[in-house]
Amino acid sequence: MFERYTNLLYRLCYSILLQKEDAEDAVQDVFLKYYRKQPTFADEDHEKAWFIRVAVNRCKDLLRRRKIREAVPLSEVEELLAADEVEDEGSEVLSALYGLPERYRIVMILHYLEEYPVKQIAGICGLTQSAVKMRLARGREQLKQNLKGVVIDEKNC
Amino acid sequence: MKRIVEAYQKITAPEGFMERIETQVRAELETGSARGMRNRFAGWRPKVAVCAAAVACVAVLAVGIGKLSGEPWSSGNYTDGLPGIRLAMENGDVISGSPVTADVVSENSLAQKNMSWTEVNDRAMIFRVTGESPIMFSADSECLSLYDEEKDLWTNCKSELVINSAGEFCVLLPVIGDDEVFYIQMSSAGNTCWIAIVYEQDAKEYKAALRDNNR
Repeated sequence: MFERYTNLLYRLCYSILLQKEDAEDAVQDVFLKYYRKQPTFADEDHEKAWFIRVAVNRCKDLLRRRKIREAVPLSEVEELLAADEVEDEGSEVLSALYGLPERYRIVMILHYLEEYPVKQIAGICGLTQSAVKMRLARGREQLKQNLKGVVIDEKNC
Repeated sequence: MKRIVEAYQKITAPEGFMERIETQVRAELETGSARGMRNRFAGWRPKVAVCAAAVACVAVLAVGIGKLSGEPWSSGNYTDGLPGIRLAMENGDVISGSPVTADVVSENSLAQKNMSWTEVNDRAMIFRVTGESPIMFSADSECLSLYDEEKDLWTNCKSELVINSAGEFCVLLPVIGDDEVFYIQMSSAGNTCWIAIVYEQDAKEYKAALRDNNR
């Protein structure tokens, strides 16, 4: 279980929290919850969705508790990415995505990077499907503005 | 898009993190202690449990699916010594909830719904039903708020606040579900806050009972 999900969860939590230490804590909490609850799953997709939902909720909790929502400026995000040696052409867009407000960032990550459909994101985030679509649209718009002309492929959502 | 995904995929957990976290998690499960990975969070979880139980409003969630059997509320420790609630249903199900683990468990899984809640602080919590707007309850203002997606704001919703003769307050909030109308009921007694969802008929019964108490 650790081998299957550690990197996935860390990447997701890090992308939401934008702090390595917080991401590590969140991942630990997710595994703790898994082993305490020992939930049963219908299949692997169900299992993965459970881990992602719990991780997203845990990250939201941490953001609220520590009041760091939308508090990491873009320059710091770029430094974080540089420190992680993510220096290819996609890192510019990724750092811009990380600079989006949390409410847009989470659904954008789940949809475009984790490739979850709108319906499942709605379930994970506790939102209506229309709310997810709205956040994706606004997130895309803001991302375009931030990137000044770099166009993100618009998937069917 | 492909380049962004590639950049994203390059973010990996620090070297040795998986082994470290596995050791930590197994140690916690074996000892029952709740020491975090880092000193600044060591003992954080038990502190929450103690504070929630002893200092402020212990928010307790119970989900009523189907008709409640007998006394709807039963408080106390529900699992692992955590503060929480167990709720017996007429269909034989037992539903438990805890503010510490922030989850709701249906013991026979017959009546599980996509519901969850999140503690904001020790005086407020956010309750979620999948597909519905989140609802925030504040013990300080004794009111409910609905999240307005369009405005990105918490707005007070139309709810009915009833304070009974014992000085407890209770809020009834109608919620439109996928296939039913149900109510969220929250009440406070002393340092304990309780929340339940009941079918319309049950809610009406509670509402009537609470009004009687006010007389």
